[in-house]
Amino acid sequence: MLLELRDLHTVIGRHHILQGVSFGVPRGEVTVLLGRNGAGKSTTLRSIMGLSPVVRGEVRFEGEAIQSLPTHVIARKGIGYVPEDMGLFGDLTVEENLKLAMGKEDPPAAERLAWILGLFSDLKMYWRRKSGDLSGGQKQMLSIARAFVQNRSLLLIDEPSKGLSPIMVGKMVEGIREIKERTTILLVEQNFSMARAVGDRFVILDGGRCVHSGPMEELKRDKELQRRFLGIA
Amino acid sequence: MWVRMDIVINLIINGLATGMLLFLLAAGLTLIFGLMHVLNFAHGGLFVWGAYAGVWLYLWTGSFAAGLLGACSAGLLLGFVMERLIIRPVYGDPTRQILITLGVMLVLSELVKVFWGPNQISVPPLDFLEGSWRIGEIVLIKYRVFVITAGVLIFALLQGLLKKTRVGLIIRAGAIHREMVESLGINVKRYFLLVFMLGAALAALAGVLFAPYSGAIYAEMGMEYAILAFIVVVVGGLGSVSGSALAALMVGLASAFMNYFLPDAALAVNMLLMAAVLLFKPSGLFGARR
Repeated sequence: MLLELRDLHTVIGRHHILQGVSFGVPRGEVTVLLGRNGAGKSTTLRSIMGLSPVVRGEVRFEGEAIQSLPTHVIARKGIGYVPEDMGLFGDLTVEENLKLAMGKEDPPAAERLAWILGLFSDLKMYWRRKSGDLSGGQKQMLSIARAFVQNRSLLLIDEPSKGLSPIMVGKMVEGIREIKERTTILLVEQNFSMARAVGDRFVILDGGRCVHSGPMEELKRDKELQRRFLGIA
Repeated sequence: MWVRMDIVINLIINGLATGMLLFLLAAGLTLIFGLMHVLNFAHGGLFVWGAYAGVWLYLWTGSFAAGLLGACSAGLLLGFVMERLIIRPVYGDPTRQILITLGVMLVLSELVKVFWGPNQISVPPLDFLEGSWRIGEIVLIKYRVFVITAGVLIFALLQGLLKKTRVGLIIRAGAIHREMVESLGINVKRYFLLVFMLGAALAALAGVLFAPYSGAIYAEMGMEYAILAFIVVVVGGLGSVSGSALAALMVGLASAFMNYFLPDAALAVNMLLMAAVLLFKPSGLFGARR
């Protein structure tokens, strides 16, 4: 397993959001974190990144415990993060958002940039435009591209299809399918169609706990599971 | 009411000069709050210490350049000490930040009186910038033109730092979304000391430039000008140097004209300006955008 969560508890204010989350993310696959609103999916990603306070349990990345490390150190260990709000710097241009992420412009970074710009070609067209002026889909592309150019062995992506048109969701699906050939992804997604299109494995959270997990093929067949935990009729 | 054109132009020059001084004071404050989320109520104390240290060196050496250098050095040193000893322990705690920085402001003002006495100090005009140029009916006071030029130069240097360097890119991004900068693997706290010292040096520079402009310096002036600086920061947008520049000019011009036509209402007009901006555009004229 590239990433392992063991009995993870996260408390925010007086709210005990994660109440013993345990699951693993295999290397080279897309693991989709599913569940109803308020189940703790986004909090799980934030806890992995050190952005939400973990009070008990462990997060192991490449065999090393990282739950007590500062966020920038966790990121440098090889975890990229695409938050639900995309986390773009609206007053910075597309170029500046990407250059900030890249840091040193060495050949491997340049190759990753060229590859991701080939995948999300809209970003080349708007290179000098402020990222705050982009459309929703373009912002999402930029947010994912920015995480990818950093050479991370694991990408945490939170609801990439949120607020996007069906055509843009289709583009996101294609994009994530290409990216998954080069890195491991832990994806939070409410859109079950997208989840089933890109996911290799699933984990269902309910009430801050992991209630079910397994291969995506199993979830695709199990309508009762879909109805019970995802509200899909 | 008809006003002569030469008076209007003089008021504009005064307003621009005051605006530039306010910009220097506010630029550091906006960067400190934008990136570090620190409410530095001691910023006025740095302004006063810059004035006193700079004037003391100027009067002792006869060189205003030495005074400028002395003021900036005092600002850098005070900024270093303040960030390490006073601000660092209270990151993320706004209540303690306000209390502790207000306390530091009072201490800095009182220390000025300990070293230089309680009375105001007269500051003679600079030899090479004494007097004025005359263009027809219009009289341009040389020192005010110098202050405007210095302000424009420093604005250009700051924009160069922020827009053309990686450090500047990190500061700008951090002022917009600090958490995301850290998620990209960048240790934002490493830049806090740099930004705090830069802000302190700018405040101190504003102080020493203010001294020949007003002709006298006194310990309480820090609080007076800090209030105007906060107005500028709010109007311009937290974390925006361009916003601070524009807002400083607006506040400077408003002050100059109101001080001529209706002196009692000068501060009130600027407060109204801040209230109007907060009502219609709470993020300020150039507030940062995610």
